[in-house]
Amino acid sequence: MAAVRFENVSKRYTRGGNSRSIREALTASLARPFTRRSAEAASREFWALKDVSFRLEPKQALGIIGPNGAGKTTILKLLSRITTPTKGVVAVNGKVASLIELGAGFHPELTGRENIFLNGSILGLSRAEIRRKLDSIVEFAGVGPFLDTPVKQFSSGMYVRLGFAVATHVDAEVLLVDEVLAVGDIPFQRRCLQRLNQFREEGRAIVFVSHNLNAVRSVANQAIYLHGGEVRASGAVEPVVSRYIDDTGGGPRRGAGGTIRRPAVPARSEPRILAVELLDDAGQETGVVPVGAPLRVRIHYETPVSVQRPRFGISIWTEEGIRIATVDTKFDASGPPAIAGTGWIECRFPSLPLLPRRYLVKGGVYDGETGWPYDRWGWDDAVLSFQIETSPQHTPYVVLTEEHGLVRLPASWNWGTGSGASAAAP
Amino acid sequence: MTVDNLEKALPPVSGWRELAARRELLWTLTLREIRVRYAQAALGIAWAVLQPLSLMVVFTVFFSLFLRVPSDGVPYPLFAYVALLPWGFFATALSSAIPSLTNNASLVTKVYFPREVLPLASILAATVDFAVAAVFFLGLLGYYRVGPTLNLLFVPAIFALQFALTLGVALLFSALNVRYRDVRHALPLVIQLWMFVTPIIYPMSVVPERYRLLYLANPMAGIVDSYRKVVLHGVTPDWLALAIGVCVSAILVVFSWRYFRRVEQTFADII
Repeated sequence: MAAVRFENVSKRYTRGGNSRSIREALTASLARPFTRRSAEAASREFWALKDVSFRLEPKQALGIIGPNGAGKTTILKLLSRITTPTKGVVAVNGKVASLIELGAGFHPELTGRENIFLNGSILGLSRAEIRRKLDSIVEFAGVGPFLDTPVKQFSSGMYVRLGFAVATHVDAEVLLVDEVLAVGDIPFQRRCLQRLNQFREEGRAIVFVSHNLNAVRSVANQAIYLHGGEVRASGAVEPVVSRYIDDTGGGPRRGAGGTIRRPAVPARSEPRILAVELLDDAGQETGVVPVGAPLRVRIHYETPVSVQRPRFGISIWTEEGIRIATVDTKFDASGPPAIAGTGWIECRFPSLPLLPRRYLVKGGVYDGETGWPYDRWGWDDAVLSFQIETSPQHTPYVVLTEEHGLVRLPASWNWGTGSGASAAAP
Repeated sequence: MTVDNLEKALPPVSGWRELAARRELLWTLTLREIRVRYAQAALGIAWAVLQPLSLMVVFTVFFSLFLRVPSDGVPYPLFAYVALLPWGFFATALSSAIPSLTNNASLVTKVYFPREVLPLASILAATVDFAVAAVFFLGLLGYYRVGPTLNLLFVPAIFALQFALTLGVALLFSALNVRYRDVRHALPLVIQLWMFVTPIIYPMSVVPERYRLLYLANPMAGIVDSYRKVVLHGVTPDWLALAIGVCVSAILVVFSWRYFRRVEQTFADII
């Protein structure tokens, strides 16, 4: 029994539909017998969703990703019955709770307690239910001492926490979440994610919209990628996320080989990076690297002047902007003492301990003393990336996936019998 | 649950049952409206009395003392106040109910609930003001030594009629206001004009007989006149006036509600 069923759903909006005055409307209705639906009217229409279908079972969480204007919020609005589909069927089995807008209906003049009742009622809780859950809501939000203070005196963090606390105390079979984790501090975000996972384990279904791909990864177990109202990809989370990143990152397609060549620039008096290559140990260009395999990053440079003690740096990032590692000729007390003309420098990672995922490689050439960047790549231009993959012919680590984290740490294990836990390692 | 039932689990239009199920929301929104209206107002709920009272004083001075407007033989302050009570309810309710959907646009576009509760809550909040002002009126009646009669039993029925009329006007124009903001601009003017075609300052008897039927097409005329008859004169209401009021209000409320239900699905899209 599906919790949510979306069948060939399309939704049409009319741009500027709210700016018509009565006079215009009356004129239009008088003129209607003489005009067909005008081209002008048709051009004001746009389809926020085109033929979108998906199903969601209880205990599942669907992540919806895509650029702004892709139709993500429209899906949530259809599910919460705020609006109706132009075509197709939207079916929801059970009660729906929306975390679309935290604190929807909060009134600044009312106290925290009054707003809990107000917000809870709007979300469909009865007053008796709210009374029963009041302590739990207050505890989750951590606003206990301010319960009888008007919320206009709340900090924005308290406001959001209270909104989230009320919304997640709604007993619903389907929970709709829209970008709520973009607010609040890190511990609160973590508690939100925990709470969402708890929701799912309780047998409810979640529809989760976010630009934070890590949040989608940690909450959702399936995903759809929307673009211009159409489904571009759907299914398991990781491939869908990768497809989205491929479309937006502007970098090479997965497995297309990692090389960037940089456009010529007017003559300058500082070192410049001409190209960066990702190579395997055979010297072949590569964009796909097995877990634990070596990787070489070769930087081609040119410099019009001789530079003493240049510093070359490379950093590896996740697509969400987490910097995993930095290597640097200065840290490693290595690299050429001086460069002039053209040349190349290569960094070899003998065994990349990264787990399957797409990674970005950024770097640059800097002044060895001051750290002044002569030239950098990957920050605000073409993206250099590679994919870590597992497959039986590559590595024995086939069971490792992105769910296991970012890195494979070298580890050794000792064991024994009995209760003594403090046996010294050999 | 079969697949067919699944589709029915998501009806596009809210039904009575759903409205009844969300009565607590209605109650909470009404409380919010009352609390918010008098938050940070030093005089608080006293404003509910000050409004009709100040109008009563001004009307008495200018229309009764200076202009010598007749008042059917009852003291003019009472004559004016008994009309200002229902009028104040009507005007306050409409002024807050008609823009209620657009004022709560953030709710309407973010959360689903039967949309009727917004104008309804505004009307209920105005009812509280009405009740407070009515308590003051009891004191005024005592001061002028107007005794109660059995005809006071008509008051709840007249109020029900007045409530239905207000609901009918509020549902229709709050829905129209979502699409046409002209409604909001016209509202203060219309309320002011409406007051002059309702027997508040003057008695209905000054309206020439041949225009009377046309005059009664305004249900507020029959309502105000009926309050005067049953409370101040202690007689039965003018049945013709009341009957016309009932017919007009009933047609209006049925039509308005149907219209509201039909367009409420589009509120979130065009608000």
